Amino acid sequence: MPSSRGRGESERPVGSGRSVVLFTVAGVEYAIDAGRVRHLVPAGRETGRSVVFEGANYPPVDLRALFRLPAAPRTGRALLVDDGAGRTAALMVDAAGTLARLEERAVTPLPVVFRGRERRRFEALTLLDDRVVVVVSPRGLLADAAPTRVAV
Amino acid sequence: MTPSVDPRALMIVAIGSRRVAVHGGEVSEVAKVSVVTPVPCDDPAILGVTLHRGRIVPLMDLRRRLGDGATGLPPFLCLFTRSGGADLGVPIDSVLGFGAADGSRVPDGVTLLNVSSLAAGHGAAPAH
Repeated sequence: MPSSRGRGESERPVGSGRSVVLFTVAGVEYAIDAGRVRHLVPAGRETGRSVVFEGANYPPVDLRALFRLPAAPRTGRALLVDDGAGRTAALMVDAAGTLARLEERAVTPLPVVFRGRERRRFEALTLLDDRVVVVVSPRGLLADAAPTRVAV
Repeated sequence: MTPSVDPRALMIVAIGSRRVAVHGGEVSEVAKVSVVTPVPCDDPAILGVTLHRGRIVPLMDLRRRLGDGATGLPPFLCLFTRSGGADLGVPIDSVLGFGAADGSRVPDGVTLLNVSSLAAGHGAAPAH
């Protein structure tokens, strides 16, 4: 798990082989560019309205709420991420921590039938060992998440 | 699983209480879907995606789209279509048969499915 890295990296285009961190929410597996992940911490570290880690603030984002999924006990993990444009968040996920490599040939752009906010939040779908994984767009996801952050 | 379909013919399938026709040239296959990966999205008629012959294919619940209930959990029978380069799967109850070989007339009481429009997220053609 990456623990720190430089800021300002731009999001890479879909399909260029890259490292991702995998996480799950409600049984669905997601991938986020490893370059956007700063830390992985246990859930419940919120202080006030942020997760504070090594002096930086990460507003909590309940992905179940954002995705309009049934609520669940917060026993998972918090993925501390940035969007490469100055926004940070603590993504509340059920499990996380596996690193994977996305190969270009396994990445599929989000089908055109998806026309709503998901087009901002997700950039692609991919196959990992015959499992379908949703590749999130950190910038779009964090921009959308701002109004639905967890009240702590 | 699907015998070769005359591309000029209409395939007629049952979806809930409706009969729906699809141009044979847009039918890829009818096959059972056992696993669906939900993709959080704004359209409640999109069930998610499934892996079909190595491709990730979105699934549209036409029953929900047409206001005729909703498809249950997998496994279910699925009509896989391809039009304009876009794949789309539609859960169905059964294949009823085929219309005229030239596809020129939609039988009474049958809804013609505009696959390319549906795959683009626009919806189904009205009943004929």
